[in-house]
Parts: sequence; structure tokens; C-alpha cells
Amino acid sequence: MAAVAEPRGQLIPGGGGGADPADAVAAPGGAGSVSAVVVVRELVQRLGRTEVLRGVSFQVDAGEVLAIMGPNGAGKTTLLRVLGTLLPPTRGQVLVCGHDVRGGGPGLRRSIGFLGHHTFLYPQLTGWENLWFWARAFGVPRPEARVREMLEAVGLPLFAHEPVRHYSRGMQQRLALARVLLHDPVLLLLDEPYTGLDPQAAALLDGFIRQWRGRGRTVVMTSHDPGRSLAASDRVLVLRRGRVAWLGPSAGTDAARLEEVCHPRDSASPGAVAVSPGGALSGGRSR
Amino acid sequence: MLVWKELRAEARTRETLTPMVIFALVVVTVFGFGLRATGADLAPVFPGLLWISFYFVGLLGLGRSFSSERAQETLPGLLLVPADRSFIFVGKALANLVFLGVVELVSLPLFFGLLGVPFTAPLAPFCATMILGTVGFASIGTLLAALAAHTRAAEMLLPVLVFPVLIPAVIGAVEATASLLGVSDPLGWKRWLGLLLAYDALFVALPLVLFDYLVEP
Repeated sequence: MAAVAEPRGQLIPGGGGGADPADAVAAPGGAGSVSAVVVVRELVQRLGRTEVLRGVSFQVDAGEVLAIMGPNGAGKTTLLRVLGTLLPPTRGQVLVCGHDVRGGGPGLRRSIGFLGHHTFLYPQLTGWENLWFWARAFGVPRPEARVREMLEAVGLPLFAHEPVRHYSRGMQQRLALARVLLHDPVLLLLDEPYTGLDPQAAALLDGFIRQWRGRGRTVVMTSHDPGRSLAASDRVLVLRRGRVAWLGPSAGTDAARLEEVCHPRDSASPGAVAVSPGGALSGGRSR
Repeated sequence: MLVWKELRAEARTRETLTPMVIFALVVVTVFGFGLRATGADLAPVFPGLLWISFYFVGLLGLGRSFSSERAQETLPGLLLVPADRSFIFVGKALANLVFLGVVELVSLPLFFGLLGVPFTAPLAPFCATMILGTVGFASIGTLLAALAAHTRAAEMLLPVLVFPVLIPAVIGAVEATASLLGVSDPLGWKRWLGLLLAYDALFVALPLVLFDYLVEP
């Protein structure tokens, strides 16, 4: 198998005909700020008998990158699935691009690009066929041209006509990234996107996130890596046991202290690291 | 779009159509050897054998409709598509219709040939019976396959769910075929086609309304 082509790493100017973020950000009824793409208020999420999220509140503005961190089982993936309209909230209010996710119709889903733990790629189809299928499904204009551009952007044009089952894990992740960007979504939801990526692909993803933010798009991502989360995001939200343990700016935040908030040494005690939302984590003891 | 994906994937793997065709050939062969009658002696039960065989073969395809999406973890991706979610039902049902249609085209001549039953039916009403009997099965079968896919014993549950609901279609298809082959009232097929038409109308419309409530990531 030939080496993966050097990715061009450029998103397409003008994109695939997705919604303009400015058209989608105003929340009706004065919910959240006018530039808020995501507004979450007192979100409670039950999965069976388990309360996975317990009164989570935050908002994300247009052009902002929010990294969600926390230990396993903290509720990161569940939160992302709620934002992605894959789980209806049990209680509370969740607005994405001004629409309540409970009634999340086609218009709302068009605004969202969701990259979960699974790639949503069909292994029997080629990379080109997969992207073409999803481009058509999302109503991307000129799908052939867009697919070609995205394959080049993620460095897979040489493998375009290989079945995806022949791709390595990293190549599948690249193709999955191309899939979520095809329709130029307003909000990008990335669930542990760096998992399985080699350094080159991780750098490619960093570049995409920067470009996305530069174009006024919004990114909400989960991660276990404090260093990468701080580098890639504007703000970090730490979830612990379904609650917001910390929410603050990435700039000036110390990775080691962030790690301590995520995984307190005395993890049996919920208050082991007592930080108030918005509190600084830039050295010394947190409040 | 979804039909294109289903057919493309099937063309590459032949994971659904090949077992269906082989199963149909096995069934017709077993009937050929197992039944101690051919030709006119077999004619009274032939329509029943034909349709029950097709419906059993069709179950193989139905079972894979959603189990493959589940196994590949691609169903949530389809649910995120900005369209009414009934597009998933329509795409899957059409693909199942195509698969069963191909099986019927391949195995019908063998059923008549190997079992020695003369084909005496007028072609157009016979084709209409085949189409209506298959459409209803594909439609309700796809809906119930989506329902069964949420359970751990989907393969076991699907036949149990499908066949009771399919009884009116079985009666309509068998009786219409019997009438067309001259086994029963030669003009009765019109009445039975009416039943099949009504059944299809109901079980094509109902899933379009219900499907959104049945699928979950």
C-alpha cells in the first residue's frame, strides 16, 4: 500500500453550502447571548436508571472552541450525543443554533457535524463512495467536486477508490473527519477526535480546528489529553460525575492542575479539588 | 441515496443476495425431492409452497437490513441526516424489494420447472400478484426488522413478529395465484388483488408514520 498523500489540510473556501453561522446563532426567547451557538441550561440526562448528567449549564459562542474533559463515565459522550440530537434531554433546556434539540428537525441536523467514537463509514464502500453518499444525504451541492476537495484536504486522494475496510485506523479517522466537514456545519461535535490518529493526522486535525474557528464556526470536543485540549480550545469544561466541576479559559490554565481537576487524587471525595466554575487553574491551590 | 448505498455495498460483498438465492434454490430442490407429487397433483398446494418459500427467503434479507447498520455502528449517522427519518425506512424497504425481486426472478422458473406445474396464468395479473405480494412483505418486514434490531435476539424475534402480521398478505397472494393458475375460481384473483392492494396501502403508509418512533441510535 502506498504512503498516505501529504494532506493539503485546507478546508474549501465557501464550503459545501452549509448554513452561515450568523443565520443560526440567535436563540429565540432571549435564551443565551445572541452569539451563542450552544445554550445548555440545567441539563439532566438519564440513561436507564442512571443519572449521567446532573444539572449541567454552559454556553458556547460562535467561533469558540470548547474542550470537554473529565474521567471515564463523567458524561462527556452523553453530553455530546444530546447536543448532536442523538439523545433527547431528560430535563432542562438545550438549544443548538437557536433550536431546541427536542424538536431537532432536519434544519438543525444540517447545522451539526458529529464525529463520534464510530466513524459512520461503510467498510464495503470506497472512500469516495462513502463521502459521496454522505454528501448526497446532507444535500451538499456539487457533491463530486466537494468529495474530491475533501479527499485532498485529508490526504487520501490516492486511496479514494479503495474499500474503507482496507484503510488503517488513522486513515479511517481522516476520512471520518472529511465526512463531518462535507456539509460545512455551523457546529462541529468531536468525541475524542485524536484517538487513533498519528502525529501527522493529529496536526491535520489541529489545523482544521483552527481554520474552523477562524471562519466563525464552533467546535465542542471531548478529550482526555489536558495539553492538547488547552492548546486547541478557547475554554475548557471539566465534567465530574455528571456535574460541571470547572469551566474556564484555556489561556493561562496549567495542564497539570487541569489534570488534577479531572482526576483528583482522592477520587472518592467529590470535593477533593475544590474549584469553582470560572476559577483560575494557573498555579497555586485552587479555591 | 440509501438504496444506492445498499445496492452498491451488496454488489461488492453479495452478503445478502447470495444466501437468499442459494436458500431459494435449496428450498425448490428439497420440495422437488420431498413431495411425492408433481404437476397437476401438486397444483392445489403449489401457490402456498411458492409464497411461503419466498417469504422465508425474504426473511434472510430483512434480518440483515438493520443488523448490518448496527454491526457497523452507522445507524446514528443515518439518524443525523437532515431529512425526515422515514427516508431510512424507504431506502431499506426498496432495497429489500429489489433483493426479493431478484430472488423471485431467478427461482420462479425453477419452481414451475422442477415441480412440473404448468404455467397457465395470464402474465400481467400474475406479475401484479407477485409485485403486490412482495411490496407488502418488504414494507412491513422492514418496519419490523427495525423494531427487532433493538433487541438482542433480533434474528429469533423477526419471524415471530413478521408472520402473524403477514397472514392477510399470504392469504391474498396465495389465493390470487391459485386463481390465476386455475386451481380455484378463475375470476377470483381480482378480489384477492384488491385485498393485497389494500394491505400494501396500509403497510406502506403506516411505517412512514411510525418509523421515526421506532428507530433510536
